[in-house]
Amino acid sequence: MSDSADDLRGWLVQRVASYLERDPAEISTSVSLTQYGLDSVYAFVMCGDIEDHLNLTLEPTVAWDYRTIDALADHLSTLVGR
Amino acid sequence: MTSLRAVAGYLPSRSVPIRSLQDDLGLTDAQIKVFERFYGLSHILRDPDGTAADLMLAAAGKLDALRGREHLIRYVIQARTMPVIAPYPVNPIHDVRAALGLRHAEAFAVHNHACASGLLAVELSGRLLASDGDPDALALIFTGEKTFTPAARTVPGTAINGEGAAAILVGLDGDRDRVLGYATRTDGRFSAGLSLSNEAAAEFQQIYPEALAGVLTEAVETAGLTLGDLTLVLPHNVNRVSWVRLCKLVGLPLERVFLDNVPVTGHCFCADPFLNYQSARELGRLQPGDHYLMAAVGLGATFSAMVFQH
Repeated sequence: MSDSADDLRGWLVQRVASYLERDPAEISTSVSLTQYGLDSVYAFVMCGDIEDHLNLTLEPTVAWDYRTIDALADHLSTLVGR
Repeated sequence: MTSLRAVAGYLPSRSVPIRSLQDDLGLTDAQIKVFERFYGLSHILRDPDGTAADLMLAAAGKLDALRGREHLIRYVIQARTMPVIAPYPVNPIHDVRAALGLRHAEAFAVHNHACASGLLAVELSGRLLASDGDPDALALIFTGEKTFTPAARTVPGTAINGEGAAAILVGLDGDRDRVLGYATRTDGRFSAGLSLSNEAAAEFQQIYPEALAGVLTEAVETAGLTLGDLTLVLPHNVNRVSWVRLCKLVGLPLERVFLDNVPVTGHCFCADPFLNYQSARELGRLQPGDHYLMAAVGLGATFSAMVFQH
């Protein structure tokens, strides 16, 4: 897979849309995930999916530290690039 | 100065994997996975044949310091999360008082701080005993509840509840486990408890570490200490990740938070900090003179912390 922030952004949009059972086109990458009603359990589901997808271990607080898809994608691309 | 004269925990022998409760609790596969992978939850303990009174009496049975001091008990206090735990006129704390031969003591319950009511009961005991003026008088506190009802079995998205119980003997002017500071804050925006809207629940999750950090800091400052002076934090056992967030926020090393019981007992309502106290002592994690802190959060939402010197 590609590890660029744009690719990760697109992948995260698909995941978040799946959790929320919404159309990916409705998901803005600059809106806080909590504003979409993504509860804490699904924030952790997302963490688990990211770990599996990128084969890395995340700080479990990542969903609180990076609240938008943009911020999260930038953080993840930095981690993957290390 | 209020002090804990003795603490005794009772842990039911039946260990139940949380995975086996999936259907009973209506948990999704995703929720179970998150509870196990990120929250550090694994099992809970239950005593399926026992009543609320049985739980309290089992803890009292392990409280050796009570023997021979029954006549000194002035108050018998049940600190609990649930406002109602038995149909009228059944009153488990009155039944426990009678079974222990303590009819001379006043018996009542406190639940206003939900799962933080255990610390409230310690504070209240100290105030009542001090105002009575008898330096030898004692209060006997009980914590720990049954998981009879669906609402008592889980804090949705946060914890799985178990049935451990603790009995705590509180006195004045003791030379061990002295209370040095207490801080508590109730944020009424979250008074709906388990019935919060999704938006309010998200807001509660967001403010949680900062609000908890606020009372931790206030309690240690009241004690004339800093967080760095604490040898150990004895937490409530709702889950591991909430403590990861707290530690990251305040710069406290996570290994100073006693999380060993999270996968063993789950969240035992008001009993968690006291069960953790007993476990920490058994493991040699507390030495004479050590400063430690008990912390708890009750739905509603009350954030509480109490600093002790062992």
